[in-house]
Amino acid sequence: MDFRINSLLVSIIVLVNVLLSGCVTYQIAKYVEGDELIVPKEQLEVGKTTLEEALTVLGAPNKVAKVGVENLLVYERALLYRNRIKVGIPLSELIRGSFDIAAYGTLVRYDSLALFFNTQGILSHKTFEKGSTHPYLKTLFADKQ
Amino acid sequence: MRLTRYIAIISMITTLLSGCLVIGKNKEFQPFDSTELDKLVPGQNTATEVTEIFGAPSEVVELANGNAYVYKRTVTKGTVCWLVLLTFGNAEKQHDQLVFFFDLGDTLTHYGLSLDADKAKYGFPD
Repeated sequence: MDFRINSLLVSIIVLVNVLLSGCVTYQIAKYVEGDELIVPKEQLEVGKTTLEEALTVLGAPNKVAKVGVENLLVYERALLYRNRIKVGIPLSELIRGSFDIAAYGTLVRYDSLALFFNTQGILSHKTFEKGSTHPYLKTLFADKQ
Repeated sequence: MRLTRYIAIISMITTLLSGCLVIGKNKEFQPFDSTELDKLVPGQNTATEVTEIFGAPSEVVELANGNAYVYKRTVTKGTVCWLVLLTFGNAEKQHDQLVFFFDLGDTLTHYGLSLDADKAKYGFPD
């Protein structure tokens, strides 16, 4: 029993020493660019909505481009999540070298609305992808690219 | 014995929670004033008049039936908190954007405005 307690104590002391020496760190990071994208579907009708109406409803686009004979307006929000764990045990006092291992996962998801307008300024087609609804871990480790 | 245990627990908690907090702000400034939009009337003003009021655009984009002048400024607010075992990092970047659309004759046809830079905030990752 005494031996068990002593082993447990030693393990705890070692663990606490390793943890408190900053050898194990866990990082959580988040980066957001752009405001939340709310798409009023009823106000964006293909063949009907004008460029002026779209600008009134959604404001200035993040990107503007010429695509063939049409104009493209892109509204976008980016969300980055990163988790990183690092474990390092300095052994330089015992041997030449140290044990150091780290793992991280970064996922950037985009909410993106693309609106195509013809030269008359009428919405010809639109596409919306809400990437932020995909869960972090499931998306990060999914086989599908 | 009880007191020793309390001291040990409090010491451990204070050690684990000791750390450092840093906040920072970045600003990409473009001195356009959105209230000046009242001076503009689509179909009447030209690209030259727009640049006289708003200055040089951040970007000019060629479109299928004209050009777009983009004015953009951004504010980024960041928060980093280091604890013994945990590090939290959070950054949020928001834009103020003004986009003018001109036809091939450089006449203003439309414009769009988004003012979101003030929405950037400090915080922790959720």
